[in-house]
Amino acid sequence: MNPEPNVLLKQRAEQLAKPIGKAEKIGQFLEVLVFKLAQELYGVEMQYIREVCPLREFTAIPCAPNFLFGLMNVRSRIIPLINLKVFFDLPATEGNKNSIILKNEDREFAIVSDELIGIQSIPLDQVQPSLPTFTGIREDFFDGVTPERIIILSGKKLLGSNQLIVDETV
Amino acid sequence: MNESEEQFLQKLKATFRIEAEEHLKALSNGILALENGLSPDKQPKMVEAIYREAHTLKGAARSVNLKSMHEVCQVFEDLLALWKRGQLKVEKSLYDTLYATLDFLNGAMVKDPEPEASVAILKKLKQSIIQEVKPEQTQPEASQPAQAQETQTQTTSDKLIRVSIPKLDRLLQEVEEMLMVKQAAQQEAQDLNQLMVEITAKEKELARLTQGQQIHSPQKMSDLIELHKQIHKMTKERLAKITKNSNMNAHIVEAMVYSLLEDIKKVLMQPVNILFDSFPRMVRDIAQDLGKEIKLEIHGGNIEVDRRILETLKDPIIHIIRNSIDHGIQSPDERAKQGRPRHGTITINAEEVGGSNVEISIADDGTGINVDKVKEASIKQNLLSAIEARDISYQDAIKLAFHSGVSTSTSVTHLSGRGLGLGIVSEKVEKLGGRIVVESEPNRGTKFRLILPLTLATFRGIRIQVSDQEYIVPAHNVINVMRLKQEDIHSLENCKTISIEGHSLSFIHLADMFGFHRKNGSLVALIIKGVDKTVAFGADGIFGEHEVLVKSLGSQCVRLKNVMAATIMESGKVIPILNPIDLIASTLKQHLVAQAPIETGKKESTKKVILFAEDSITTRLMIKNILETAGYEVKTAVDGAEALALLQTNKVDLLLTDIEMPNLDGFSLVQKIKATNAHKTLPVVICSACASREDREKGMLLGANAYLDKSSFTQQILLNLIGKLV
Repeated sequence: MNPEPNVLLKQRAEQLAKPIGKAEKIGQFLEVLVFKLAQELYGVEMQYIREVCPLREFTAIPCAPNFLFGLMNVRSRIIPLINLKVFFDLPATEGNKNSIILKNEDREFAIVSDELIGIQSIPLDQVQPSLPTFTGIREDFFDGVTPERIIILSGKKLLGSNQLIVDETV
Repeated sequence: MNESEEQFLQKLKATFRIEAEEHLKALSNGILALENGLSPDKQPKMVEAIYREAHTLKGAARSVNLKSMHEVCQVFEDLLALWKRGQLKVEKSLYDTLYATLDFLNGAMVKDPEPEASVAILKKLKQSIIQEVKPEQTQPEASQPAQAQETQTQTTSDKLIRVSIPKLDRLLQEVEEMLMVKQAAQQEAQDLNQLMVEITAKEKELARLTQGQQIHSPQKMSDLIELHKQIHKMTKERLAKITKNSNMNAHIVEAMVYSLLEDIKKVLMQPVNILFDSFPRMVRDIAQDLGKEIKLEIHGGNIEVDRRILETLKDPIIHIIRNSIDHGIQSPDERAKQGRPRHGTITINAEEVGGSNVEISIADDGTGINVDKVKEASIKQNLLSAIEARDISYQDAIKLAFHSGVSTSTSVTHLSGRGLGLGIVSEKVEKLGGRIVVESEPNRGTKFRLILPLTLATFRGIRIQVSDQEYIVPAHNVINVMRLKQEDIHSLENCKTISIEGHSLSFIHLADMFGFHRKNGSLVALIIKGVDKTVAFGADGIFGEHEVLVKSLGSQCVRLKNVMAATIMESGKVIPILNPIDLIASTLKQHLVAQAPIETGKKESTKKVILFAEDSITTRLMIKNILETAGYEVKTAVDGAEALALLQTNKVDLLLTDIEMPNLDGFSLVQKIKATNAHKTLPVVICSACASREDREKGMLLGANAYLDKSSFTQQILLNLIGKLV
């Protein structure tokens, strides 16, 4: 190989290796998936999301608590679908187009969303930690709110919450 | 010792060595971790773990007559017990002693050690104890062996299984055979792709022929027809070949998958003896502890059952045995007085029933279940009224013993008597798809019969349709399926019934139970048997019996009402598997609701909602049960904070709250509620054990409508009061 392409490639590699923009502050960004529930925008940190898939077929469960939307089959595994609208006093909408699967070591479930907006990097210093109206269940699940009024849901709190567990006897 | 006994002992010793190796390995890993400075919060757990290992090893050594090993383990265990209780000074020399002990045990396992060696190690161990226990002198605890037993049985079911190498070889071979299928599938895909390419090429040729112009010449016409014929012929020939291969492969795959599944199941099957083997010692220990004499007889230990079933059964059976020894069998003197042998007998028997089930029975020849005491305890727990208690049948009364909180024991011992046990036993057995039957005769004894499927993995279910939804009902609970006409359903005392062979059965349509719209058209009834009750359930259609793969609902759904699991059909659709025991329990509850005088409306939406905040789970369940039985919908909260949260998202008609709760106590809760506009007028009842006048006054001042003293209130007072307020 003659030296010229080598030089070129090296230059390119260096170019690509350079951090983009203000990326020196990379640790101070939140990577969130933004989605819609009724008219509100919510975001969940990407690190808690295992996958996102369109909500095609699911099975509703009789006599279950109202937040259990149903069960769906994801590659031969049964994943419970959870309807967060019930907790946030949101009107029941017809949307329910996508499921966002959250997962940690011991729990896994999907939340139903009306519309996916996309992945956004939100500078951490723009996230306002809390609002006085965030009480009760909101306090339990919310991490903060952005200037664009995206409510950041805590993946950790959702996955750790006992309120989302179904444990009922007749 | 005759020859066969000698052989048996040799066999035992071989088994022992495998087991002991594992224990020693765990011990050495544990001690190593401790020496390397485990974080303080993990330390007690680790010490506990190695203590248990030593304890088990001791028992095992004794059972194969390895005396010196047993002696050393005993002292070793004593030392670890002190450590466990935090009464041992831990320093470097201790670890040296521990390692020396492990080395000794490792050697002793293979070959009987020199007496001197064992004396030396014993001395070393004892020195460690005497030397290091000084800072805090304590008396030995009498109940310690029994406690150890308890913790041990709770945690030994680790996730390991011993599988023989031939079984694994066979599996490997079968999986290797699947490589052939993989190649066949690749070949098939390739053939199809090739065909596709050729068809596309011919199509292009066709297109060229017909391009842009009308076809006039007969020559062209016949060319065209010829080409079509060619394409048709080629496609057909090639497809025939591919289809033939494909069919053959499908057959092979079917056979392979089936035999692989069978063999995997066999890997998971183990003789019941694995479970039973630990019982003789346990029975001996407990009997000794309680001053009773027990003879244990075990039959049918070689039946093979799914390992997972055995694992789940361990605790329930141990519980039943403990109950028998503790409450069932009288003391030797008492028995002698009644003219019976001094020793009680417990018989454990396993036998296959009906080809796919195993029945494990545990029988004792003790006093039998004291029905009067069960009734008394049940009345105390508000499970039934005094009048009901008088009329209840013997079998039904015994069943009450399965309710949590009902214990006939006047004293709570460390073994049993807490009243939670039998409830958990029946729940575990039901979860395995089994059922439990109790037979008891006063002064003759009690027999628990656990009827369980042999394997868990496959499961036969009947697929039914209710409204436009499909469900599976476990086949072994379905006694009969029949078509019904509307006129077959009769009304008896406000309940629907159907009659079968002269018997009346309660009938409830599943659509009604689930709140769905019933379909017009066919009506079928499934006769479902629970533990000892049989109910007819209506459905809109039936699709027949299937072998279904039971899928867990995951950790997010711990337990659902009426649904025990789910399965995935070939179409990918998830179908819930109904829980027959729950269905029957739900029916009984609905009947009670219908009889309750307070609410006449059956619709869910007209039910009054009561929010109940209480930190004790027992009280929570008990009151919830009372209120639900009376026709209220009950939401429960474990503390004031959760109650507040629930109030914001739910319509609530009355708040019932305890005072002493974590996070937010009852007083603060009431204060907060009364300060909001939305809930200013919400009726509040405080229900607490703090019944001092100051507390009462404080509660009333904050705006509570009533104050109930937990120690003295009755079901009736509570219901009357709530009836007035909502």
